[in-house]
Amino acid sequence: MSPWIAFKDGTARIWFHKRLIVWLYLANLVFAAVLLFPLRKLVSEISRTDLADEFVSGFQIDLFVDFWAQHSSALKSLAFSAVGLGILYLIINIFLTGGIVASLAAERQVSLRRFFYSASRYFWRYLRLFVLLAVVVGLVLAGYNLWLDGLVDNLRKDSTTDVASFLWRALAVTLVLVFVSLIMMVFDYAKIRTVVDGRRSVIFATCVAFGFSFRRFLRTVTLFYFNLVIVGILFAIYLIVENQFSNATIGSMVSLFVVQQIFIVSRIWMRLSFFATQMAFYCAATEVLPSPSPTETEPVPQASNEAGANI
Amino acid sequence: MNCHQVGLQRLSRSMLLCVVFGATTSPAPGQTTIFEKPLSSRIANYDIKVTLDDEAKRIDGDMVLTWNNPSDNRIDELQFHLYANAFKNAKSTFLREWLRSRAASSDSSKPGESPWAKGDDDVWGWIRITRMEVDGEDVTERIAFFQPDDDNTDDETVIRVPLANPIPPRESARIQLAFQSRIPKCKIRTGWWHDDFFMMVHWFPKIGVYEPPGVRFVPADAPRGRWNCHQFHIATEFYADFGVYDVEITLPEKYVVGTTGLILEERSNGDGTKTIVAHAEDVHKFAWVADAQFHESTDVWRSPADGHEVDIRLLYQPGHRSVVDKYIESTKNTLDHVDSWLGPGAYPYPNITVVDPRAASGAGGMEYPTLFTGDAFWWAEQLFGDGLRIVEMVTIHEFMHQFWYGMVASNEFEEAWLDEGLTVYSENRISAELFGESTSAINWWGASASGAGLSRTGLALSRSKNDGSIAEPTFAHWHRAIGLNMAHNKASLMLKTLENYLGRERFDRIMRTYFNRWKFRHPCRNDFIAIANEVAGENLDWFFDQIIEQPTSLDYAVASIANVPVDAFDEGLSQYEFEDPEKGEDEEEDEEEEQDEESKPHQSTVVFRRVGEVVFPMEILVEFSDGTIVRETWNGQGRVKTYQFTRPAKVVRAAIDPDRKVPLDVDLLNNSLHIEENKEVINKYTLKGFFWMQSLLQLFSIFG
Repeated sequence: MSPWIAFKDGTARIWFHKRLIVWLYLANLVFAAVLLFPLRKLVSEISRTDLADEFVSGFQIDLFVDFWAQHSSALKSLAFSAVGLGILYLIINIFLTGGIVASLAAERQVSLRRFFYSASRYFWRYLRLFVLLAVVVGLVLAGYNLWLDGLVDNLRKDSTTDVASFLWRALAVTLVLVFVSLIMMVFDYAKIRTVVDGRRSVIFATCVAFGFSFRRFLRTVTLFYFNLVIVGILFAIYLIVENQFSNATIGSMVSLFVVQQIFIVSRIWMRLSFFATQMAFYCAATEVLPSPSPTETEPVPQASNEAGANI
Repeated sequence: MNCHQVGLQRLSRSMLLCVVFGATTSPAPGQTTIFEKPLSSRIANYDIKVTLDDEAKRIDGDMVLTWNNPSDNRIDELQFHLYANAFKNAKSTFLREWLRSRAASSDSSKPGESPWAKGDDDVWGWIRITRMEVDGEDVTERIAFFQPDDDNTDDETVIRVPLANPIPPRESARIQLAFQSRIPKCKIRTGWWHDDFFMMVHWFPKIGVYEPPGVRFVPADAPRGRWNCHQFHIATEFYADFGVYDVEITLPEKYVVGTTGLILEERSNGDGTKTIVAHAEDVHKFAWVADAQFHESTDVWRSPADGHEVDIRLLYQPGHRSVVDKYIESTKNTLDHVDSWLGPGAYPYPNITVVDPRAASGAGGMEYPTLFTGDAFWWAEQLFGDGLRIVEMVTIHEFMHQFWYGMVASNEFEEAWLDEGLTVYSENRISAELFGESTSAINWWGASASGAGLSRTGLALSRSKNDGSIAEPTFAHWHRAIGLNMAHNKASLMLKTLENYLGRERFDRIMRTYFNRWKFRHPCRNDFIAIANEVAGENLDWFFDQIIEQPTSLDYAVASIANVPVDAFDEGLSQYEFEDPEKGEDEEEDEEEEQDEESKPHQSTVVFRRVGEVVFPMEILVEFSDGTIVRETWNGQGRVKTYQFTRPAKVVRAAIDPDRKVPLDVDLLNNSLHIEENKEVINKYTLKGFFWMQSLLQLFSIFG
């Protein structure tokens, strides 16, 4: 199967399971809303000053620094809360990913109950995969710090122009990003394999995913980066569109909110796209049916209407 | 056209020069005159021949200094700066100050850790005088290091030379000396980089300034003047007498060279080396730069007022073609502005050399007479383009030093603000005119900042803003950042505040008078203040005393707004709910009822507060619900000022300094208070924040 066919198959699969997007979007919305009121409270600190008008018409960096100076502890608390919330959201997502991958593998639409059943079924395996991923990425970053960074520093030291110096640094960072993205790709296949083949050993699943990815290197990488490029394009489009909403009228704000939410939905779509398209490719390449392994299916309650579902 | 051609063309075109040389012969040093009439008293005149060994990073030089005793005293001692010794080891005062400041900034810095110490011995530099004669008398053995500023006996940046035969009043001395110097690796301002870039700033023994009675802080009735020859410090390094420089530099042919003054000749020696012959008049320093990879661009600026011309020569790095126009245009724009501000011909020199130094060399953003270094980053140009005005602002800043350091030669060690403060003020003024009042520094992707705004922010953010005063010598502050903040930010904001207080026309007359009266001389702050008082026609000592002499901040605030219906006083307070602007609007009133309420006669009390120590007359503004605006001036005295109004409308807004005429105010957030929230700003930034939170969560989710 070509990457393009896999992409088309995967896209059709996401469309079929579009309710996943709604669930994930709601989760995102609810979590983000936690900080909505502290954020509003902070912004309201300038809302009774003359600076408010200037902030409405643009973002004055020097005035913001004033604001920062006066409210640094509140801003820091907000930033720490955001990161803390992000970490919690990451853990929740480790849980949800099991449901996502299992749902995408299913031939029938899944209920919320089944989604959560799958999520809980694969949670510990996915958590182990995450730990493994963190270790591998950590090793890569450590390698960068211990070896590549020094090498680049020496090359930069010998660079007689800042163009060359910048390009050396950019090359090093790009290398690390490519390496990390390839690792992410391998772990995507490991997650898919964990569900599709029903294996419990995450190390074995990762090794197999590694072998799978690199035996079909050109196609797996093409598919992965095709998805990644789309994410980049979406982000660029968003930045351009957002820049058009310079005034703060109600109409403009509502329109901007709609655009922002469309962008968030598109990002969620793309997150699913990585799984769905790679799953399509994996199943076609290994000739495995795109559904969870029968040995891994939940014990279906007798009374359930969805007794025949593959989840 | 190379610099040599440009220089010679300028010589003939300006007709100010009397160059005595034919078509095939080159002028010898001393035969060239740039200014028919000297612009300065030309106290220290140097004739230097120096050879650069680029592989050994060494220079060997012979120097003849003709020093004119400017006083009625017999001078029995000479003092010289040997600034290259600041880079001799980590014990110099300069490195100690650097380490101390760095250690104070971060716990990660330990004594002995410095960019110099991380490399091998290659990084260090020094200078030594191998022979010195004063009017034929060998004084080499009498040379002694001393430390006028501290008790650091390891510092070898200043020497004194006792004379057996004192120099008579108003007479000249001929000082011949030979010197050797090991060039340090360039980390700050001077040295080599990448083996083939040499920024030669502190490279020759330079005589200190003998201040006769009546000059600067030496009392006019003092029996004797005094030497002013400070050690090399972390943030200040300039104070010297004007003179004429004839310099011959011999170095490998591969180098492109830029110098202070004019390059008169570049001759090949036939042995792989060449000699550059340079000449400068009425300058107080001579810097030169040699780089094997410089590219060159030239242009000419013509004064719209009197037609006089200035040759601009830019030496730039490979890959920096995209910033050539920025450098050149900024230089021309600055000349345009100064020509109309300080007067036609304010920049009297025939040329200016702009140097785009090696990135990360630490040589960028520095001023030397008729030569300055800019700062450009290739990646920043690619990313921000015109959205970030680093090149323009640095160019304008460094070029403005030609006036406030190069010509009005204050003592930077003791009063850095007279140079830096005036320069930052000028930079902010010119950049605002060129790029917009609020977008002069940054205007990128909806975010903006002005140069003056960043100066104000620099002062406002500093936790140590009250740890020192502008008047203190920069090197005397416990942390170099304080000195820089005082000299750059606070001083420039003081000038902007004064401009707004006096009006631009009056202020500009002060600056013009100061420049024209003190160019090519050594003023001190008393001279500046005296001119300000004289030209403004009022005594401004109250202002300067507070801002320059005292470690104080200026901060005024709106403390509160209270609206009370007048009938409340008759009917009892309990019937009325008072609006507290600090609280949210929990209760929505019926619109009609609200309008009735608002049109009732109200007694409104607005309280303004002086938070900082500085007393300054402040304009206050009070706006009522019926659109009426009241403006008054508070003399700023006292800690609190209360205004009461009884009107058929409520106060909805109060502001102190509503037009931002007092940029010295360190907190703008407390300068205004509205009784209503601005919903637009809340919606806009809450929405933005919410979206970026959603995005952040989505980013975290990809690892899940």
